[in-house]
Amino acid sequence: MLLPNSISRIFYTLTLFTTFLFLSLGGVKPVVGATLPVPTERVLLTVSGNVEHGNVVPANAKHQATFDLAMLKQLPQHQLLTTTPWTDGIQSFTGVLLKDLLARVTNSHAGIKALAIDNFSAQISAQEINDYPIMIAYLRNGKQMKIRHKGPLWVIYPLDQYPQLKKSVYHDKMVWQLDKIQVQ
Amino acid sequence: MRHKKFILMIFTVFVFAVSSFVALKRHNQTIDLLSVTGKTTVWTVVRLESEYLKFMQIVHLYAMNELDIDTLMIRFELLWSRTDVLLVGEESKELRQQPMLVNVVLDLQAHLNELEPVIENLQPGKNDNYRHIVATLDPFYQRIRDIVVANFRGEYSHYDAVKRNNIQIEIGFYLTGFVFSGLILLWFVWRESRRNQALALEDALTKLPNRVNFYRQLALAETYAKKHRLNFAVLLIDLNGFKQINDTLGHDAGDQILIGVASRLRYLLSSQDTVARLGGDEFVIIKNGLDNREQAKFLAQQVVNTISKKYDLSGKECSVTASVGISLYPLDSLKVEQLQINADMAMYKVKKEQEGGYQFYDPDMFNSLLRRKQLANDLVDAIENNQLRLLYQPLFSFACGNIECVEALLRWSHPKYGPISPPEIIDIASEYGLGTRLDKWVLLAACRQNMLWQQAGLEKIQTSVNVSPAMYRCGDLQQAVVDVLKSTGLCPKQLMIEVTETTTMSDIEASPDVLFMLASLGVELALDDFGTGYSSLSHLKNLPLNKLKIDRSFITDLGQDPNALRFIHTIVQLGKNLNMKLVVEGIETKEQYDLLAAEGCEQVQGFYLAKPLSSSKVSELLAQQMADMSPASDI
Repeated sequence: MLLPNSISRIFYTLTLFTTFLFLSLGGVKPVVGATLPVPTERVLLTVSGNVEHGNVVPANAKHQATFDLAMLKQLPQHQLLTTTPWTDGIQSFTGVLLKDLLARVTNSHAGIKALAIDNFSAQISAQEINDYPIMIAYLRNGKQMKIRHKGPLWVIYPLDQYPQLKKSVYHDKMVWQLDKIQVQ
Repeated sequence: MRHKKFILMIFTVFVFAVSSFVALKRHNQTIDLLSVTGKTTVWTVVRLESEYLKFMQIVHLYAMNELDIDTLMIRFELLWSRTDVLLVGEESKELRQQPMLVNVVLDLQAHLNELEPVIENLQPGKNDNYRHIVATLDPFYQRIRDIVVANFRGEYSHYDAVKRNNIQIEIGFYLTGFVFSGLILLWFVWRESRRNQALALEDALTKLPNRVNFYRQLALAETYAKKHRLNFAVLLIDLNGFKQINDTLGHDAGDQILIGVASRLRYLLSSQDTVARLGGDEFVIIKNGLDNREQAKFLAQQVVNTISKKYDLSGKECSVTASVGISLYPLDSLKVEQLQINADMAMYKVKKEQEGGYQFYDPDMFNSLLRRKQLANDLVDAIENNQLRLLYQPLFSFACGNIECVEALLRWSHPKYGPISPPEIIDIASEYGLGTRLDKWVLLAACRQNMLWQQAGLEKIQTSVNVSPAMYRCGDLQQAVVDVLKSTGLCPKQLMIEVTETTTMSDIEASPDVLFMLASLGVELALDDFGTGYSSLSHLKNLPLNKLKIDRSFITDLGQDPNALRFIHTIVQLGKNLNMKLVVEGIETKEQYDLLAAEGCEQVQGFYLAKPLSSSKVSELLAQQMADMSPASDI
């Protein structure tokens, strides 16, 4: 009766042992306050709301910060190995930390709302952003993700590293096909 | 038994812990399953349908040239991603148990892959490619709808249902264990608390109510009697001879007797009455609803009778008797505490006066108790303030008729109660722990008087003093004698300590050194009341005695019993052979005196010759004696 449980437990323990937790790839620190460059390629992410260092000023609206892939690569790079409920086996995600990205565009915030291309959305609190290295991934297993494979950007929680995150309430916040962020 | 119980307890706690843990775990699992499955089934399938519909709409709009190709491709990608979500990953695993769903999704994905190049190169307008796309994808409208509806109705959740059902059964199993072991634990707790409560109110040995419970019952009886204007009686029962059984046959035998007494008493009483064990061999009965004194008397007689019947202790027969004190409510007291004290007094009276039986409390008992307390109080003052008096009864020499010795006798005239008899004074003194102080006073007063006579130039005589048993027990007799001799300057030879056979022998046996130490001081020792106690001849042999005082009962019998004289004769011979002086006391007639004259006793004492006299009277006699005798001679 306890069998399925124990197997999954062993499996998770193994993942924890076989993956190294976080691998910081870049030594680049976010330059807070420095002007955000203008995207030169296709915009992948638009950050609006409480943005202090934007690069776009729409009419009758506050600053917005838009990011292309090159700009995301300017932020500190991270790699994360974890399983997810929507993939088979351990996946390697590469991307930037939500924390770092927000620090690049604003001095303070009270959480965000993440919106997907299909208008799915989820609320992520400031505390979660602080407590966990939540990633905006642009590579999965070294490859860019098409929209059909939940790309181009996917909010990844470090599920295997923090077992307390293995709940549907956090799964729901792992917005794939991430398109916009509203800073609060 | 205890061991078994402990194992059962541990087992129950284990079952309780395991079943509660597993039940909780399984419960959480079900909830997870329900929420995840519910979400994935409905949400994921609905999302597929909605992306399908959006895509079809976008295709139409594109055909009408209202959109660009990028928007079309994004919609295509989004629709494709919905198929991927259903086919990959843990979350949709349950859904993939539905063959129809997998079929449709795989089919759709295959068609999308097939259509992808067509869509990428699609030109606006309702051309062939457009018609091909619509024709290919249109059938999926109904197929996807069917999946949505089926999942909404839960037709495909059979697999889940089975799984959930299994878990539910499992939960049921563990919950049963949880509830059952919980109930067992509760039962344990309940039983233990019951037992503790019972223990707090019950005497463990006899199972009768204990002292605490008795006070409760007494209070209840009072309340009830007050309310209904009824009488009740408190019977205090104390066993006689119980201590001997405990001492000789062991505590098990004693316990058997107590259990026997308890059951006999219970048998005598109705359920409205109470019989309790107060402790030791003391029992108490509360008899409710008495109409008259006779009923209490009848019950008391029954108690006395039933208790005095023989007890069979595994073959050995034993018997005890009961002393019963009865106190009546409201006749004797309106206060229940006093009622118990009254019954206690009555019971003690029985104990003192007879072996077994019963007594009703009467106010005289209370008065006599009061009197004793008063006397005890006043005795302290009397000792302090020299209000006690000594009289002196002379002992005459048989040979010459001179006074050779005086016995100091205590007298106390109480301002309220008048003269108090010496036995009562001694009784009270020993009961209230005043024995030693009283003895010291007597010793000092007697020795001082002896010195006064000497200082008056009178003939040297001995003073004999009776010492109470307490002095031997405390072991300070020797010190007291030393102190007195020192402070008065009396020659030790002139002091004689009288040892009473009946009362002091057991104490002397416990500390024989005391007599030897006294003897070594030079003090003389007399054995009083010889012939009545249970002293053995070995005492005569072993103890440093100088004098034997033949008990007065031998003298009283002189006229009637011819053997009496022979007895005295024998005792005198015995004393002579042991080198002791012989004294006869209680001589009241000339006849007795004449009969004894020939026996060869050294000294004689009795009313016939002299009553106890005041010190001044003794002085007169001594002075006269000196005058009668030509040149003064030594004793």
